[in-house]
Amino acid sequence: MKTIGIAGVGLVAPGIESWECGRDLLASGGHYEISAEFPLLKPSSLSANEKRRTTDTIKLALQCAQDAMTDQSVVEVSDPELTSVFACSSGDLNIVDSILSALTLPGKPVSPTHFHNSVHNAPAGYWSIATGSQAATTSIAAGEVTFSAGLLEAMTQILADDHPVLLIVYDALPPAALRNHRNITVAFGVAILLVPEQTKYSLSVKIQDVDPRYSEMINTGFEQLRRANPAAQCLPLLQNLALEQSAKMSLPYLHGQGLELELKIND
Amino acid sequence: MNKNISLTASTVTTALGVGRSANYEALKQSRTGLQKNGFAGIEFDTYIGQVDGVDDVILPKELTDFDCRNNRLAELSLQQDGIFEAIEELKAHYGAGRVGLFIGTSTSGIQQTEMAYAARAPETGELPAWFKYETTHDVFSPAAYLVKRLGLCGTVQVISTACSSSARVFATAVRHMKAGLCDAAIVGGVDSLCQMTLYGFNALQLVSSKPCCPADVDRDGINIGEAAGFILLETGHQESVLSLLGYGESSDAWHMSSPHLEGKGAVQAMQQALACANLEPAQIDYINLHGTATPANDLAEDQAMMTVFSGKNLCSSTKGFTGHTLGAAGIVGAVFSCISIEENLLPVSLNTQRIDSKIHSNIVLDASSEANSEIDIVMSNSFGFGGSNSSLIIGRPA
Repeated sequence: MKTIGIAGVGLVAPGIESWECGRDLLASGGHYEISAEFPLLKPSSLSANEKRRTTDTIKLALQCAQDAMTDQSVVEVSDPELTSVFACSSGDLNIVDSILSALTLPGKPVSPTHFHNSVHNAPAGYWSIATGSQAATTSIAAGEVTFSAGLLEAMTQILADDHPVLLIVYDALPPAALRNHRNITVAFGVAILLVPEQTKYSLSVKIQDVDPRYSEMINTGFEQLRRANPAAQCLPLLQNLALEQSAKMSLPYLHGQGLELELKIND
Repeated sequence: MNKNISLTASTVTTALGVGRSANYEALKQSRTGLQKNGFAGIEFDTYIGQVDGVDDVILPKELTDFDCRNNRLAELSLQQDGIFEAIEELKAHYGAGRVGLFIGTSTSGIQQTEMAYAARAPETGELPAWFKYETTHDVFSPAAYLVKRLGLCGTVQVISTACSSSARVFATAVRHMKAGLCDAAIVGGVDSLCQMTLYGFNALQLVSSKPCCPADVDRDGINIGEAAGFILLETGHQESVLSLLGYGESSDAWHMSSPHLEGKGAVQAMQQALACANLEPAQIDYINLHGTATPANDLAEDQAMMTVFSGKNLCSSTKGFTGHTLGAAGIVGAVFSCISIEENLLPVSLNTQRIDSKIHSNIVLDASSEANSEIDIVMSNSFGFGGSNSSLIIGRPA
């Protein structure tokens, strides 16, 4: 597929409250502890009232989205052409836990707010309300390969319609009851602003058919993080962005295939 | 659209019956599939659009891990209208790696988790050993099932944008084809009855205790239904085959569960679809409305319709036949659009007795009065929570 540009990044992970902070950590190659405290989620794009009504999953997605938009200056957040792709493997399992627990009680008292927040596209809905943009948002899921699937969806939107796309990939920590059923041990969220024109960072992707060797992180702490959340499959890309080095990477995709990412740093 | 996208096969399974002909017959005879609620665990009065026989579906032995109501419904749909064989032909023609799969679902197999929560160990709260999250409840589960069932190895996307999910798959599939990631696509949707949606919509006071009556002055809410359906997309013009002429996608940017009062996002989705198809509003012969039969939805959609169209175009909601099939509503609307064109059939707005005086669109109440209408181009609307809107235009290629 054609090469596109990366214009901004947002990041929230244990001990990392923004891309600025994550970029420094990734570039320095210093020690990283996956057990570091998770930053307080307080996306300013939500009103105080909405913040009370929304969940960690929604706040995580919006904080990443906002961070990526702050990191760049080429696209306005209210740009009617800026579409978004929200990719999340599990949706909001904490909300599901509340609703399904309510269904086991007499009278089955499901909260209406919980229910409308339970849809997979709830973060996308809140994002469009926050930005006031009527541009399309889509919400997808692809299990362990959700980052790769989200990236492909974003790339196809740019190539077909020649406009910027904000990709947000995130998974919150599941509730205790479902934790054994998901391969998610920490919350993690990333947002990448992709644009059709060339920027300092050019990215191309293609599907690899045979026996790919997936990229790993050399740093033990970051490698643990990469394996702790489907959204964290982006870490090899983020590391090369942080180090400003051109590189080829391979991320897991479906059917045992890989997604080859080629990052080029332009002068 | 700068590329012709042909719809080379389709199937749909709803409360009207399994497969296209059962659905066609019921639409033609204005016979509803709605029945008084008898769904396990639902303790309030409503009507539902339940598909008969889902409980009896048996998944292939090697895929029993995927066993849940949602995947059974997908399997049942796969057995109709020769779609399974048509997919085999598609694979043989293009190669299994060049056939993409694009599935919309809202709640996937969440009913499994409902049952698991009901069976939690009282002391520890632990879920029962039989519970398998990944192959049943997970949003990706229906696609993972179909990949294995159909032997696919191409690109796959699962879209979950509430009630527009299986309409949005069309645009995603076309973009993946344009980008060269696949040469042909299976698009579809599946959503099945569960307690969460019935109680959730009930908590929002959006469920009717009567058969739903879209656009009626006395409408008071939805009936929830379930459905599955698939359409095969190929590029290039094919004789006597319908085309996807256009699509539009937008956000309301307004409220999580209420439509924008003037249908601002709906207007944008319909206008985008018209622009994409390079068609004037007057060229649309029939519009299959989202028309869920809640007071707010039908009014907002009508406002949008009156902004985009003149009020002359024939339109109706088919929710009085099937109920609101949520994440499957898009594919149901799309296959019903194909049936409308191929059979020259105008579905009536079933259960609608007296149209709300605030609704001004030309809603079909009696198909016989429009018997001379030639239906060549149809728009299908699907709008969802989170303000996610989609309009599709299907028709005979020019």
